[in-house]
Parts: sequence; C-alpha cells; structure tokens
Amino acid sequence: MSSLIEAIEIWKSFGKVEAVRGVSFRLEAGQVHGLLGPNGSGKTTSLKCIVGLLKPDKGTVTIFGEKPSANNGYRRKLGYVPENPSLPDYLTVEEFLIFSARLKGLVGDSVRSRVSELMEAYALHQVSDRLVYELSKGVRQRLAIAASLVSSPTVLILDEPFNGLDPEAQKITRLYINEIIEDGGGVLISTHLLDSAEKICNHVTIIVDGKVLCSSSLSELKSKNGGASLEEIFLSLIRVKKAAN
Amino acid sequence: MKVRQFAGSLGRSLSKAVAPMMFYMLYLFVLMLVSLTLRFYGIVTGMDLDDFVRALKPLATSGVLAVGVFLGLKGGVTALGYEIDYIFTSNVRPRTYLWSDFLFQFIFLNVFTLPSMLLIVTVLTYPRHLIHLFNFVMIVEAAVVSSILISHMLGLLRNWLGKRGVMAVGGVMLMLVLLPLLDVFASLPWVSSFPYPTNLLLGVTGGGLKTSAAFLLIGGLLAVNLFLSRKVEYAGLAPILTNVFTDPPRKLITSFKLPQPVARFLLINAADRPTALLVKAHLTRFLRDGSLWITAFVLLLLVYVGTALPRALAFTAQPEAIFLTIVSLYTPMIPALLSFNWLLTEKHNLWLVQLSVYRVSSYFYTLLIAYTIVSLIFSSLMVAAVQVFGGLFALTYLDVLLFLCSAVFGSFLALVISSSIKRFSSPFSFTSIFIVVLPLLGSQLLSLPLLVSRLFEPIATNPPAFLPYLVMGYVLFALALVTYSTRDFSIEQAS
Repeated sequence: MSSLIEAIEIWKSFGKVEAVRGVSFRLEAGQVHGLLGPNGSGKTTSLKCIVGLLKPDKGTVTIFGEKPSANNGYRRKLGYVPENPSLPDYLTVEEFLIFSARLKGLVGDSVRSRVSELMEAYALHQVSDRLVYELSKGVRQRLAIAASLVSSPTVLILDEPFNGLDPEAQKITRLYINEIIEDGGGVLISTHLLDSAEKICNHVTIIVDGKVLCSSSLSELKSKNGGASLEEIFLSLIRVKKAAN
Repeated sequence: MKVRQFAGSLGRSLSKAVAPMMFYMLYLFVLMLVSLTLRFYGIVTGMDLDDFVRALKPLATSGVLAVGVFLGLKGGVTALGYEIDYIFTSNVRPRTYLWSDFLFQFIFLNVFTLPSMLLIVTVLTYPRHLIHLFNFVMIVEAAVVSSILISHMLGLLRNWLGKRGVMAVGGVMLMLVLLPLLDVFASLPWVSSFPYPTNLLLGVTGGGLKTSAAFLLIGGLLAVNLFLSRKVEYAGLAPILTNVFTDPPRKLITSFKLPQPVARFLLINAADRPTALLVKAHLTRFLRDGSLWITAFVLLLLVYVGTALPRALAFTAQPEAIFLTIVSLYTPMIPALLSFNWLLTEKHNLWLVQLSVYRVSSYFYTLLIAYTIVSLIFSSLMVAAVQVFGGLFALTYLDVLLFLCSAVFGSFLALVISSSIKRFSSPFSFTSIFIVVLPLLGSQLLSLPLLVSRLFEPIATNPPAFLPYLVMGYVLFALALVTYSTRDFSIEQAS
C-alpha cells in the first residue's frame, strides 16, 4: 500500500536562501506525524511544497500516490491549516464554513450538517453571524481548524495549529485527529511546541537548517534515548548538530 | 523616515528606481498630450486659453482641498501598522510625529500636483506661461499646505467632537470646497465673490487684502492645529492605517444594510453552482470591505470634475457626448481600484482556492465577471442619472458598446496587473500608480476605435452602413480574446 504522502529529496530556495535542502519523509495511514524543528528550520516551506502552494525546485511529492500537479482531486481529501491563517474577513463565520465546504466540492445537505457539527464542536455557533474580521486570534484559529475539517479529510496538515488555541479547542482538535486516524487517514503537524507534539504524535521528523536530522516513530526514538522526553531528545540532537557545524 | 518607508525601496536597485520614474514620466506625458489636445481645440474654436487657466485655478485648488477633507474624514494622519506598534509606544512626542506627517504629506502631494499643474499651464499658455507659473506655484502650495492642515485638523477634532461631529464638520467643509463645481453646473454668480476657502487661497498672489486673507486662512488653520495638538496623545489619533479605499467592514455592515432581495441574492449558500459561488463571494467582498463605496465616491467626484471642466469652458456642443465619454473613460477605474483592494485584503486568501477542487483560473475568471458586473452597474447608474437630471437623450449603439468595452477591458487589465504583482506592501507605494492608472490607459487604448467613432458627430449619429458590423466585429474579437486569456490564469503564491 502506498504512503498517504511521500516527499523525496525536496529542495526549495528563495533567492540565495536555501530554505529546504533535500527533505524526505513519509506519512503513512494511522500516523500522527510531527514535523519538528527550531524557528526557520524549513518546516513551513516543506509543508507548503507538500500541499502544492509552493513548487519545489527539486525533488518529488506524491499525495495518495499521485503528483499534486497531475490532478486536483486529492484536494477534496486534504485539510490544511497554515501558520497564522489568512481568512476572508468579509464573510461571516457560518458563510466561511459553507464557502470552505463548497470549495472542497461538498454539495447539498451534507454541507449544512457538517458545518453545524463543526460550529457546535468548536463553540462557533455563538459567533456564527459575526464577520471573520471581528474575531479574536484564538477564535480565528478555531475557525481555520474547523474549516480544514469540513470535508472530513483523509489527510490533515496543520502548521503550528496550537498557537493561540485554548485547551478546550486543543482537546476537540485531538478528538478529530483521532477520528481521522481511526478512519485510516494520517495527520502531519508542524510545531515547535514539543509538549503538545509528545502528547499527539506517534511519529516525528526533526528538521534543522532545511535538512532532516532524524525521522522515526516516537516510541523508537524514546527507547533509543533511554526514555528521555521529546524535549530532551530534541535539545540534545540540536546540540550535537551545532557542535558538528 | 515616513518618506523613506514609501520611497525607500527605490534606492535598492536601478530597476526599482527607473521603473517608477518611467511611469511618472508617462503620467506627465499623458497630461501633456491632453493639454496639447485642449490647446489645439482652443485654436480651432478660437477660444482664449487664458480662460481655461482661469477656470482651472479654482477647480485645481478645490480638488487639492477636497483631498485634505477626504483624508481628514478618514483620520487625517497617515500611518502604517508598525508605526503604531513602535513609534506610538516610543518617547517620540505626538506633535513631532504630526509634524513629520505634515512634511511627508507635503512632499507626497507636491509630487503629484505641482509638476503636473505647471506642465498643463505651460503647454496651454506657452510662450506666455511665465506670467501664470509663479501664480500657479503659489496657489498650489497654499492649497497643499491648507489641505494638510485641514486633514490634520479633522483628525484631531475627533478628540473633541467624536467621529459623528467630525463627519458633520467635514461634510460642510467638503461642500464649501466644492462650490466652484456647483457654480459650473448651476451658474451661481455669488460663488466667485463668496469668501470660502478656495476663493481666499486664489487671492494669495493678488496683493494687499487678498494676500492677507489667504495668509489669514492658512494662519488660522495652523493656529487651530496647534491648539488641538497641544495636549494630544497617541491614543487620541486615529490614523489612516492601510489605505483610504478600505474601511473596516464591521462599521459598514452595521451602518449599511443591503435591500433584502440583493442581500438574499448575494447570500452564500450550499446550493450555489461554482461560478455563482465565487462571483457572490467577490461581490460580497466589494460590498463589505467598503471598497465599492469608496471607489464609487472617488469616481463620482472625478466624473463630476471631468464634466464640470468642459462646461466651465463652454464645450457645450455635445454635452451628453462629453459626459458619456467621460463615464466610459473613468469606468475602468472601478476595477482598477477594486483590484488595488484585492491586493491589500484578498490576495493572501488565495491559498483557500489553490487547495480547493476548483482551478485558480476559475477564481480569476469569476473575478473578471464580478469586476465587469460592478463596472456596468456603475455606468448604467451614471447614464440613468444624466437621463433623469440632465434631460433625456438617445443612447447610440456606440455608447452601449463603449460602456461594455470600457468595463471588460478595464476589468481584464486590472486583473492582469494586480495578479502579476508579487509583493505589494504599501498602498502609498509607486506600484499603486501602476495598478490604478494602467487599466485606465490600456482600456482607453483598446476602446479607441469606438471612442473615435463616438466623438465624431456625423459618424456617431449617421453611421455608414459598414460601421456597425466593423465595430461589432472588433468588440466580439476583443471580448473573445479577453475570455480566452483568462482561461489559463494561474498564480504561485509567494512565500
């Protein structure tokens, strides 16, 4: 069975800055895959290359076994929340969720029922008539995550999803992540919040300076490091890397 | 620093400096061509071009003052977000900041008004231009200084009168400064002797009492500003944060309600077909982010000024033709200004479409439809207004085609230009001029065959048999080309 997502040796530069330098990893069904790394390590650029918002200079990305450029059918099954998501300020909360559902190809009654369910889950029904412009940062983040879940995606990609998210919304998001995993999907999360990553992820890839430092299951990584916490492992790996440089 | 934040990028490379300069020269070149056309028209009709200069003075002065009132109603002080974060929290005194903003606005307004005014006057009156130039420099400078003082004064007055009070004061001031236009349309003889701001400033080089009155006005405005700013704190300033074309949607949506059928029509619902869904989303954005209303306001002002000038000069042979031509010429400005706002408020939301099941080209195609719909509605309303208030006249098929072409070509060019701009950080940058003026010029160029036919009276009213077919053929070909070009529109979002 092919991987849900496979990135092979992807490179991306912006002018003279090489943001991603040969990153490779896989997202398999049943994985909650944490993409970890310090600020500016290339996590966000890697994710943008994977979802198709950026075209890698070199390397290949396949989603559900196909290249993103081959067709756009995969987008229906893909949910994505960018870092600091930019949302249409001029729509109301409910309109935006309906709009997102329609953009993902959902039609008919399924749109209404899914939108209602997500508004209820993320406590957005109280602000359903409010413009996105009027929302606080936390509520915007809740809305962005709800919108990414509207098409019941098989693959969910979240870039720093817990920024500004309250514990209740974090818990709800974890429940939806579990639902995706139970249905045979996979979740890719980029974060530098190692506590959250340790709670959610069962697989991690650590990126430093645009390169993969290590990629393995969390349990394997921990047992190799004598049961140390993810934070301790991460910091020691960074120290070793710095010393090698 | 305020000048540097808008023009600082010019020093980064030769191309960044040359491109805006070339564009600025193009802007002056177009003004020169317009002035030359007027001069030749004047020679042919035996008109005294000094009359033109005399008519231009109050209109130009009022125009500059109107900009000040308009900015004042928006907050009066220009600022970018980081100025609020870093300068408003620093130990720089608010008065110092206001003074720097005064100098910034002075430079910015002068760049756009003084050279263009001097060029127009020189072309129109050469070789007697020197008589007028000094006079014009003084009047323009007096108007620019007063305009900024008015803008700051209205901004500061918010602390005393609140926003509603400022709107009332600003409204009265706007009516006062636009009196010369009223005079042009309604022929009010008392206007030329009425001591309102434009008249007072026009007397700046008049000597004696007239000069004193002009300086008294400027001094009065300065004194009011000094008084209002003596204890002002940053918390009391409401700067124009992003641009003058965008209002916070919350205020608009609460203060403005669409008629029920329109609101129902625009409501995004689950049963919409993809094209309808995206067109509705675009139209909703125009209405809710305020771009449409501000665009319509600016445009109405331009059309009003544009039609006032020919009347002031007694170009009355075909008043409706002049009006219709001006409406069609300014119509491309609607999509241009809307695309300006698209860059500011919507482009960064493109990721939603890029990750949707729709193609990005569908998004742009529907944006073209939305721009065209709004432009055509505007043209139709303007024509209807002329029919009602200016007396009925028959529209020729050329008028209808001209409106259609102006709307479609303007929309298409606005789309091409705005989508090809990778980075657009500041609404006050030189790039803004490209976005607004290029669709205007390009659309006029593409509509030229129609415009020429419309302006030649015998052709317009008594066309040769082949003309309708020729014109229709041209329009259909051009429209097909536009539609075809938007098919493969794509964009790669800059990181």
